[in-house]
Amino acid sequence: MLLLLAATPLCLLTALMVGSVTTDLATLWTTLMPGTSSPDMALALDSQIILELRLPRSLAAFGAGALLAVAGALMQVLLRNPLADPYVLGVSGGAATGALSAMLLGLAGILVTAGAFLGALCAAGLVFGIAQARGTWAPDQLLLTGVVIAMGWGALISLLLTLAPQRNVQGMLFWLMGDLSAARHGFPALLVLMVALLLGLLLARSLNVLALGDQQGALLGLPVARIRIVLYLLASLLTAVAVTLGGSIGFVGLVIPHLLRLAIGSDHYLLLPGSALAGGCLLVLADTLARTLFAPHQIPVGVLTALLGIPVFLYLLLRKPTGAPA
Amino acid sequence: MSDSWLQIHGLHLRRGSRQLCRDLELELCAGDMLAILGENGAGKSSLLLTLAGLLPATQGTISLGGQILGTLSRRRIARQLGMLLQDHVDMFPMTVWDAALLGRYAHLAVWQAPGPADRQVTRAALEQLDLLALAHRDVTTLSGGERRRLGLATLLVQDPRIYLLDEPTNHLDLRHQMQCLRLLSTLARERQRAVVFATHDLNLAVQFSNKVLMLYSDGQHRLGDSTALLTEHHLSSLFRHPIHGVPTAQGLVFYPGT
Repeated sequence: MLLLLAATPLCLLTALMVGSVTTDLATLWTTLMPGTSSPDMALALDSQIILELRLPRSLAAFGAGALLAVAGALMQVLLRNPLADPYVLGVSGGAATGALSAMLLGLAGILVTAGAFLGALCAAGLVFGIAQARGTWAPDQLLLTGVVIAMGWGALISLLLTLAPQRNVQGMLFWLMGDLSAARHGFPALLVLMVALLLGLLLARSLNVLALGDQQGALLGLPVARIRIVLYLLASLLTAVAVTLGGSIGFVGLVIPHLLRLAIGSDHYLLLPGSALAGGCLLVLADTLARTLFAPHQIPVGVLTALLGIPVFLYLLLRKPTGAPA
Repeated sequence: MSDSWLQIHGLHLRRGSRQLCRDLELELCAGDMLAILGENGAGKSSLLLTLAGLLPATQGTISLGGQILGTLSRRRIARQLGMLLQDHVDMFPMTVWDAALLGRYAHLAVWQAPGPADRQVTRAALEQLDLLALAHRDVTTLSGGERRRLGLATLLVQDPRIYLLDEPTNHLDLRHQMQCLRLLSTLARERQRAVVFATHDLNLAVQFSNKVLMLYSDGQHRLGDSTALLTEHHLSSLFRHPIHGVPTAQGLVFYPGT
């Protein structure tokens, strides 16, 4: 946990320094400290790159990664399944359908973002409505509903990709794989993250109880149905915000909480903030690599998270016998 | 009556097309040890789950401390009534200590951290069930019997007035079976708790219960004092199998005929 706290500023610093134009710590210092102005033209350019390009993008990456990891942790308790991720109930599918529809209509920028957010809310609302109508929030029922609906979104996405003119397809694919190159506004995401973490800490003991199962939870005094609804809405909202910011970046939401459960256990007082920090760091690093590795080409960050994360995850899984965390 | 913890009036239970019990009238008082006996599927677990408010009653009323069970929040129920489920599967890692401490959930406000008193109760419960040495173990690595004892310890930490236990001695070795029931009977006698346990072990019922509820597979039931009901005749008809009793220094010991 302390390690994560220490790693966060390091990751952010790295992200600010590295790129097509590499800056040193001294430049960074002058840039970030207010009140220092420099007559040096080169320095001015550097500071512009840092303040206007790298800083917002890094913050957005941190926000998206943190949101996805926290949403994943919540979704795993909600579905009582350590393999659940934020996308399993179709929120990302809805967002992708919304965003791709907007692109197909020739819209750009903020309208694609709006489309993604609307789509995500639609998807979350749909599953919510079905669960309410059926009167059951049992994990397996919810999972089944969500998975089927996610498949539906998948079909719609394929349809949109087939119909789209050639010149749009690459943008769409980038969006689908998760890409932060257009992310400029990290602050709303960070705000949502802070609120979610505060709420999460209030809920942490209830989550610990819910993790024991519905019946056991109720016997210990937990209002199971109410907690499930709160949890579902919170996880969906976090996912919607993250997906709106960076597309459906995979892997972070599944693996970060899972990894942390292996490393520090499942106490949600630690797991939720830990997931936020680790998810944020991972995505900042991945995004830094995504824009530098094949510079001047940028690759979608989602591709990198998966390529980097999967070997690490498999290593940890094989090293540790199942169910024997530290 | 001030020490009547649970009252059941005219309770009918039905699951699917099967009538599990009809017109059950039952009152649980401080100090009661009620054993529920019956064949597989006779409704022992369903009855316990209904008493805990986790399954709806088909008909009839259950009152807990003078209030209708269905009108109480889970939190208020949990402060008065706790239950050990028949089976428990852990999906997520957690230490034995943390799992037991969650028994305090209903006693703590949302923002309230467990205090020294809560930790004291938890330590005592783990100690009573020989789990203190395992306090830092992960629950997913426990054996069946250890997990069972952790369930009991959590129940002790929850400290309700009514203990419902669905086959509490499942998976337990002999020593721990006796330890578990002695613990419960001490609670009933000395701390005015009421204990209801479903069991297939007739001899534990003989040794530890003062009342017996027999659930027959056709939906009939028989309720009464242990001394009156725990006989060769009643048990053989309940289990539809010859059961013999041998008088010993510790009372009757039952064994099944071949």
